This record gives sequence, C-alpha cells and structure tokens, in this order.
Amino acid sequence: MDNFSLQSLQKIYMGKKKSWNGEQVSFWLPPFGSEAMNALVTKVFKKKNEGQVQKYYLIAIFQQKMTDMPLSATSTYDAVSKVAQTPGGIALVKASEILDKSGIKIVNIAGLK
Amino acid sequence: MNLPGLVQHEDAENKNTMIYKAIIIGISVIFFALVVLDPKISFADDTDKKRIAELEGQVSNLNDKIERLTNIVNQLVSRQQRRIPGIPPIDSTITAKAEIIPPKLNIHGFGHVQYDIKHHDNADGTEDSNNNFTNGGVNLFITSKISNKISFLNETIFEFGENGANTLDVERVSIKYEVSDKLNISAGRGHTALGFWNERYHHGTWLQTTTDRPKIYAFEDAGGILPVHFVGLKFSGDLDAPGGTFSYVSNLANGRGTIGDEVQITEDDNDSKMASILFTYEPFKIEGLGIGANYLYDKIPEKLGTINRGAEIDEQIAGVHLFYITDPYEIILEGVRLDHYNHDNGNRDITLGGYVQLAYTWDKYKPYFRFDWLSIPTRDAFFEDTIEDSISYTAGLRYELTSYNALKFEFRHIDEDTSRSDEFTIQSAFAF
Repeated sequence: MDNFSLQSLQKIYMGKKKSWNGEQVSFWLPPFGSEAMNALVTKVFKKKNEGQVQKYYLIAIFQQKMTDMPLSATSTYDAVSKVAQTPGGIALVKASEILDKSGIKIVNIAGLK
Repeated sequence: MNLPGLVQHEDAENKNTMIYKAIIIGISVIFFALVVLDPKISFADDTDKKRIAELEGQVSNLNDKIERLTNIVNQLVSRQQRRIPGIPPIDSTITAKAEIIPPKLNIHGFGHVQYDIKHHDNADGTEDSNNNFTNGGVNLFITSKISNKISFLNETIFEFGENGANTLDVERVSIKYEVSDKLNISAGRGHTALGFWNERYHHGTWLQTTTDRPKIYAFEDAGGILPVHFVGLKFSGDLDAPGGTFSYVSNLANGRGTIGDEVQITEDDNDSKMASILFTYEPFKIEGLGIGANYLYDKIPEKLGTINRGAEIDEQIAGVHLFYITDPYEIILEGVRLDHYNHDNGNRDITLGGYVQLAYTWDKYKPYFRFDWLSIPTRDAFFEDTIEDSISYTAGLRYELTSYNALKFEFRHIDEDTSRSDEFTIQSAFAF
C-alpha cells in the first residue's frame, strides 16, 4: 500500500475508524504548529485552527466515539519513533523530515499536500 | 637481500648524517626553547591570532554536532538492536503493557447558567409573566479505557429542582465492547436510537447550537413524547457503502414504563423488549451531509386502575432525518411519526412532529433559527392529555466567548392549545 485515501485518514483521525486490516489503529497528532498539523487542521478536519480540532475531540468523547483525547507527538522524530514502536501506529508527518525509515512505512495521502 | 657495498656507503654516509642531525637537533632545541617555552617571543601576528580563534570555534561547533549525531545514532542503533530476531521487539510488549496498566479516569463536564424572561397569554384570558435566573446544574462526564477494546462511560447530572431540591440523575452509564469498526456492543443506560439529535447531542447544552432541545426530543421528565433513554443493549457500527459510509445504531432494551416519564432502569413491567434501529448514510462527495431513518417497536405495559389503560399499548416510532453540517452551514431536518395502538379501547392514535434548524457561522457568531411542530391527539391514553399541540419559532445568536464557553441570546414564540408564549433566554453554556 503506497497510497492512502484522504477519506480513510479522516475516518481514523476523526475516531470513526479504529482498526485497519484487522489491527487496532493508534494515532498521534502532529506537533503543534507544524506543517503537518496545519494540513491536518485545514485538509483533514477542514477547520480553521488547532483549537477547533481539540474541540472536535472533546465532542467526540461526549458522543462516545472516543474515550480520551489523542496524544500529540512532540516532534517528527518523536512521531516516527512512536509509530515504529507501536503496532497499528499512524502519524501524519512531513515526509522530508523523516530521518530514520526503519520500522515504518511511508504512504502518500492522496489529495493532501 | 645482502648488498655490502651499498651497506658500507650507507655506513660512511650515516656518520656524516649523524653530524648533520646533531646540528639540526641542536638548532631545533634552541628554537623550541626560544619560541615555545618563552611566551614573550612569537612569530604570529594579529591576523593569525584571529584565524586561530575562528578555527578553534569551528572545532568546538563540530564537536557539539558530533556529540548530537552520536546520540541520535546511539538511539537508532539501540532501536535496531531491539529488533534482533529472538529478542522480543519492544512493539510486541506494548499490547501486553496496555492490559496491565490500570485504567485512567478521564473527567470532563458541562454546565450552564441562564436568565429567562417569559410572558404567557392563556386561553382563558389571563396572562402571566415571570423572569428568573436558572442554574443548569453540573453535568459530569466520566470515561475510562479499561482495555484496548473495552471502555466505560458515565454521565451524571447534579440538577437543581423546584423549591431548592437537589437531584442526582445518572443519565448515561455503560460499558462498551469494540468488536470492530462494524460492530460495537454497549450495555447499560444511554440515549435511544431515535434520530439525529438524540444520537448526536446529549445533556450538555454547550454541544448544541440552541439553548434547548427540539420539542420532539424533550427529555421524558420535561414533557417529552419519545423514550429518549434506554436501559439495555446498544449495537452500533460503520459500514462501507457505495460512495459513502453507512452507520447504524440499534437497541434492545427494557422499553417504556407505564408513564412517559418512567425509564425502567432495574425492572421491566412486561417481558417484551423495546427494539429500535437507526441508520444514516453519509456520502463522500458532499461532506457533512447525512440522510437516514429510524424505527422503534415497543409494548407499553398496562396501567391498572386508569381508564383506557387496562391493556398494553403497541408503540411504533418511525422517523427520518437529514442534516448538512459543515462550516459555516448547519441545516437539520427531522420528522417523527408515533403510532399508539391501544389494546384496551382499540384506538390507534398518531402523533406527528418535526423541526427544521438553520444556522450560519460567521467567525465567533452563529445566528440560528428553528421551527418546531408537534401534533398530538388528546385522546391518546398514554400521554393522558398532558402534552399539547404546539408550534414554536426560535431565533437566536450564539457567540463563542472562548473555545469552551458560548453565550446564547434566544427568543422563542410558542403557540400551544392553551397558551401563547414569548420567551427570551440568555444562556452561558460551557464545557470543562
């Protein structure tokens, strides 16, 4: 799998899809203020700022779509490390910032640039 | 190899070379003593000193970089070593760890305070007005992930009733098993799969645009016509559908009690169970759009000693909904048909209701409008003539003071069988 649809990414980050190929998905938010976070806010959630994404998650908890607020990665390195160590781990990062590609698979998100 | 001639020559030459070496060493020792040991003597000028300082700085920077890179490499090597076959990789222990880490309790909550001004023109010619502050109580929302697949939810409200009464109301409490995205099973008390609003919004007024719920979704203890809460099982999931997502929610529960306000929590007056299903289709092409329907069947137990309630009532509730919610638009339409067949008197009574809500978000401001409509037959023995036909118009403005605190300014005009009312509410709703 070298491509991932934007809809699939939306479902995962919006808490609507919790498993992928039979494996439970764990995801991390990109570091606050990063380019990846900006893409998540504007392209995936179609919101105006990171606060609105946090608000979405709070509402999702009240609606029992999620149990807890998702955790944020502190850096691209942190995100990649977490994904490499977690089965079913997913993180949205800027591809050019990935230094160590061992233990992870990089997939393109169609429609997300 | 043995070359004696050459060796000799080498010997004569060596003798002369030793003399030269002795001279050179002597000169070097004197030079070293003068230049190096005596700091006052130096051949370096100011330009050289600057250059040396620059080079020393560069060396220092390079040392720092090497140190940082060494750290990174050590981390990478360490991670790589953990993946050596035969040695348990770190990722395989994470699931096991998640099972043994004690559950973490997450607490959030809602609250609201408001000020109401109301004026009623009654059908008997009288009129009355009042204004009051209202403390909307504290709504505590507790969740906990018990394991990767099991979670707990509780929503408890500390309400304030008339005459200063304090009420503790457990609105939702359930344990949820996530079998897959296609199937989640919850057991406990929750909101019945009845329609869009009841599934999307719960007790916190901050969640919803308006100050109150639509008339058809009023809570049982607030004169509602629908069984908005259930105690039993809930099945839910999302399925892939052509061009979109198909989601469903279904209940198998105790069902209604003998009166509308009764949610049967620890008992059931009859053996038959309430069954309901709600489904929604959301197309990918029009993000934010959803369309769906719902159906509920229940047998309401008889209420002995009450006229026309000597036998069970068959209850069928059918509804449709359409919503389009994506910034800046909010459009919600819902309609419901409630069918009561009374086995005591053989009457079939149909209640119809619905609403349309429109809103537009402009920065922190969100003007909104809602039209509510309810038509209920007075002879329906279950409602005992306690609920009237009504038409209401609601117009308001929601202002996001902060991300988690909204101010709402709302005006309502309500026409009912026995009165016409004008109401104004200022509400501060918040999440914490």
